[in-house]
Amino acid sequence: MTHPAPNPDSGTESRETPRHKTPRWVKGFLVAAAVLVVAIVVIHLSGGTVMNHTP
Amino acid sequence: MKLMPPAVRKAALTVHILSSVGWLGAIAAFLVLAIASLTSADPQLVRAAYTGMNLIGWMIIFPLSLASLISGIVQGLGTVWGLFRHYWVLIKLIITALATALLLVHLQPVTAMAKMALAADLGPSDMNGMRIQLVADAGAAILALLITSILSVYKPRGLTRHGQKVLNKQQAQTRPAKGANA
Repeated sequence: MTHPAPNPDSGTESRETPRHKTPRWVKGFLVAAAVLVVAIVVIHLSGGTVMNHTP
Repeated sequence: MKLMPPAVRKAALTVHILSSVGWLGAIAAFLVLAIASLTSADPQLVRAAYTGMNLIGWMIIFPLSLASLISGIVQGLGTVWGLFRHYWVLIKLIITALATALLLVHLQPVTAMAKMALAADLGPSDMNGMRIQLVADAGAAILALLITSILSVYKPRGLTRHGQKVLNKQQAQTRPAKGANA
């Protein structure tokens, strides 16, 4: 059984156009930001004290 | 945009740091006044605090927020960092732009509270919701500015899709040149 030869193009391609990966800290940051935004929206909609922009 | 010469870049960076740190300091003063006016039963202190908050808001915080935003954009466009290439720069830009827009909206009730406090004595329970909101606004602003400061210092790694494309293009341009030299 012969091992398939490595594709010479694949290595070059991965160097030329590496697959874009979002860093873990960005994902965590986005999750935290989403939680904060949802919390603020819920407080606004439920008529909490942090609601009115005019007295 | 063309990259700035080192002297101009340092001057622009100084303006950006001063405006951003000044903004954070002014918000801290605003927060102290907001807490004092929320917890105090002394109408004179409440009046003085809201008048001070109104002045600090429009004369210091808002101009500094604009200066920070504009100098940050100039800094991004005029250096190798770019504006949309690195996640930390992009996140800082979004936070600063949002904070400036929200600040503009949330300074209106400060002016209204200052007018009310000047027109009549405010008791401890008067406009309580608004008072709490101003404390929460200032707290949120401090949190946002602390995050932007931390991002600026640590500059966490990570290229955006656009940044990766720019890098690939630059590498493709330098490779043939290197090959020609060799």
